[in-house]
Amino acid sequence: MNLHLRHDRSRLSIQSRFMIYFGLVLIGIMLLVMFVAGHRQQNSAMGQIEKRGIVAAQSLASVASQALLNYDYPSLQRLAEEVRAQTGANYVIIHDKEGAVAGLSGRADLQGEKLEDIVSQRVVGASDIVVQRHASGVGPVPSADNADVLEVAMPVRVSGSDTSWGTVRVGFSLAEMRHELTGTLRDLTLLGLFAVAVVLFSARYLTSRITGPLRELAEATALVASGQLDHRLKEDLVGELGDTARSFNKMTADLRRSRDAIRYQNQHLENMVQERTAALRQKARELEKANAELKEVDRLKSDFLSNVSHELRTPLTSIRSFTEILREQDATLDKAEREEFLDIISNQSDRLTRLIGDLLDLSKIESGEFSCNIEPLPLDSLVIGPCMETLRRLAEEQDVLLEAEMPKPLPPVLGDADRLSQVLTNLVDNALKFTPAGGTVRVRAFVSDSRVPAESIEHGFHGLESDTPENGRYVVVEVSDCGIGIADEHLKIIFEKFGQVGEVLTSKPQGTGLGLAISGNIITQLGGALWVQSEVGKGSRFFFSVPVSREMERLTRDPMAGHDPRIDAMMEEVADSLNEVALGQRVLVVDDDESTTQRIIETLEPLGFRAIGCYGGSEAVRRARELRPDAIVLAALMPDISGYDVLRMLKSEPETADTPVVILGPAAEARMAYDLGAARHVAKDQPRMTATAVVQPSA
Amino acid sequence: MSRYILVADDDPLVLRSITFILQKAGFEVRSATNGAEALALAREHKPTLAMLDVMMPEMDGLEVCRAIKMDPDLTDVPVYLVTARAMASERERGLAAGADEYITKPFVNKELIEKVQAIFDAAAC
Repeated sequence: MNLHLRHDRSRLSIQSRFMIYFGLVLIGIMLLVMFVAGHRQQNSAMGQIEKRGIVAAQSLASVASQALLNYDYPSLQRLAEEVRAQTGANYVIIHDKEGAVAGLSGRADLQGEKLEDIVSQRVVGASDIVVQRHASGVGPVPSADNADVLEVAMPVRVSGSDTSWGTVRVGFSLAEMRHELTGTLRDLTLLGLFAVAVVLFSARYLTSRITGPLRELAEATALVASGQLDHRLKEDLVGELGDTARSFNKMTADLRRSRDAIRYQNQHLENMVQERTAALRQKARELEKANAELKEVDRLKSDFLSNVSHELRTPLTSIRSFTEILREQDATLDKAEREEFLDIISNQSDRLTRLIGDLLDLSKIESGEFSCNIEPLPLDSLVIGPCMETLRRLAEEQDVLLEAEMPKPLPPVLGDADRLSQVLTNLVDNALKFTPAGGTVRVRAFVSDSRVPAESIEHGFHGLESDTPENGRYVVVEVSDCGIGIADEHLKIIFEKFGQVGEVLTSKPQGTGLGLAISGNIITQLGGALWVQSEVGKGSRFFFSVPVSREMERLTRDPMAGHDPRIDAMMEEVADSLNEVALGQRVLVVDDDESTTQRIIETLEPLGFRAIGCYGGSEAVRRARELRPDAIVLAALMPDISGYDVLRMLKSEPETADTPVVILGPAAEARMAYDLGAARHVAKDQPRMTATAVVQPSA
Repeated sequence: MSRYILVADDDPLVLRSITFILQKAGFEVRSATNGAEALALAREHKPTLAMLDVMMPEMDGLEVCRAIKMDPDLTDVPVYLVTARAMASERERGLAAGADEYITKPFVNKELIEKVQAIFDAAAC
C-alpha cells in the first residue's frame, strides 16, 4: 500500500525529471546568452555606425560651410552625394539655418522641403552633434521605437564664429545591422538547441547509468519484499551503486539466513509440537487404557469380594441353621437326625476352613509369598499314588469310579511334592464334584516332548503356561471327568485371577472356586502348564505338565549309574524265566519301584516282549483283568498290597488264573511263591540303592 | 388343591435345612436343586410361595423369579429370594426382578418362618 502510494507520487521517473530540469536550465542559460550577445552586438554595431556618421558629418560640415555661405547649392548637392557614396549612408541632407534643404542625397522626397522637425530646430540652435534614431520613412522625427535609421546631425559653422549657418544630417540604415543581429541570434539559437540536445542526450545516458541500477534495486526490493530472498544484484557497478548493491546483497543474504534459521526453528518447533502432541495422545491413550484396566481390576475385585462373601455365607448358612435347629428343637429330633445335623455342621466348618486356607494361599500368591520348593521327585509314587489313595474314599462316597493309568514308569520330575499334591487333589476334587454318581474320573500320566502337547491345542489353548522357555521333556497329568463340561466362553475365564470364582464353579456345591487360580500359580511357578479341554455335555479334561528332571533322568537311564552285577543277573534270570513260561509277547510288569520296572522293561523289549509297567498291587489286579497279559512279572514286596496277595487274587479269578506269574522276591520266600501258584521265582535283594531311592520317602 | 412352598437351592445342605425348618413349622415343602427344575415344578403345581436361591445352575433365581412374574398363571405367587449374595446392588437387582423379599444367608430360622407365615396368613384371609 505504502509502496504503491510512493510509486504514484513519483510517477515521473528520476530520468525524466533530470532531463526536464536540465533542459529548462539550459534553455534559460541560452536565452540569457542570446540576450546579452544580441545586445552587445547591437551596441557595437550602432557605435560603429555612429562613428562613421560623426566622421562623415564633421567632414561634410567643414567642406560644406563655404558652399553654404555662398549658397552654392549644386556643390552642396554634389558634396552630399559624394559623402553618401563614400560612407554608404542611407541618406545625406544639408539644410540651412531656416531648415531649407540645400543639398540632398538618398531622400529625393525631401527635395525643396523645409525641415522643421525637432532635430533641425535643435541642431541649428546648438553647437553639438546630435545622434538620434528614428523610423525610416517618417522623416527625421525622433522615435525610439522601430528605429531603423540612425541619424547624425551637425551644425555647419564658419571657422572662428559660433554662428550656425546650417545643418548636415547623415542617416544610416539599421536594417542591415538588424539583419546581422537576427542571423547571429539564429545561429546562437541553433547552437543552443544543439547544446540542449547534446546535454539531454548526455543526461539521459548518465541518468540511465544511475537509474538503471536503481530500477533494478527497486525491483529487487519489491522481490525481497514479496519474499524472494534468492534474488541477487550485479555488484560490478560503479561507486556508491556498487556499494549499495553489495550492501543489498548482503542484506538479502542475511535476511535469507535469518529467515532460513527462523524457518528451521519453526519447523523444529512444529516437529517438537507434533512429537509432543503425539506423545501426549499416546499418553492419553495409555492412561485411558490403564484407567480401563484399573476399572476392570476394580470390578473384578468387587466381583471377587462378592463371590468370596457368597462362598463364606453358604456353609455358614447351614452351620447356623442347623445349630439353631439343634438348640431349639432338640426335643423333637431323633438320634439319627441329631447325628446328621452335627455331621453337617462339622463338614461345613471344614469347608469354611478349606475356603479360608485357599483365600490365604491366594493372598500369598497376590503378595508374591507363595513359593514352591523345587526338587527332583518321582511323581507317581510321591504325588499321584498318595493322592489317589486319599481321594478314592471320597470317590466311593459319591459312587464315582476313580481310575489311574500310568502305562510306563514315569521319569522323575522337578517340583514340589506337597504343591503338586494340592494341584492334583484340586483337579480330582473338581472332577468328582462334576461327575454324577456312577460316572468315572480318570487320572492319566504320560511323557510329552513339549510343555503342552500339540494335540491339546488343536482347538485353542485355554489355561496358564509358565513364561520360562521350554526345556526338555515334561510329564503331563490328565484328569478327565464325564460331567456337564464347560462352555467355551467360560473356558477362557476359569483360570483368570478373580475370574475363576465366576458362576461356573461356585454355583456347584463345595467349590471354593479358588482352586484353579492357586493350581495355575503353582504349576507356572514350577515351569509347567495347566490347561483344560472341554465340551458341554462331554465332560472336561484338565491337564498339567511339569518338567522332567534331566539330571535325575540321566542318572536313572545311564546304564553305568547304579550298575550292579546282581541286578544284571536278576534281569537275565527274569528274561530267561519269561522265555520259558510266557504264553505270548505281552508282559505286565508290576513293581512299586520305577527304576526296577524300567530296567525290566528295557531288558525285555529287545527280546521281543511288549512290556507294560504298573505300580502297586491294587492296580496290578485291575490291569491284569483288563489287559489279559501273556505273563506277569510281580514284585513281592509292595507297600499297598503285597505281591503274594496279588498273586492269590489273580489265581482266584478265572480270567487270570492261568496267566503265568514270575515273582520277584526274597530268596527265602521262593517256597511260598511256588505254593501260591507262581510260575517262576527270581530272587531280588532288598534294599537296593538306586538313584531314585535317594528321594524315596522314608515312609 | 394343596398349599405348598417351593424351595430351590443348589446347595443340598442349605436345601435340607430350609426344608427341615419349614416342615417342622408345619408347611408342606417341595424342593428343587436348580432353576429350571423349580420353574417346571411351579408350573406343574402352583405354589403358595416360592423361595429361590439366586446362584443356581441351568436357570438362576432371578430368571426363575422373572419367569414366574411374567407367567399369567403364576404372577400372583410371592417370590422370596434367599441368597448368600449380600451386596446392596445385588439386592436391588433381586427386587428389580420382581422378588417380594430379599433374604440374605445366613438367615435366622425364626425370622424365615415368620416371613413365610405372613404369606400364609394373608392367603388364608
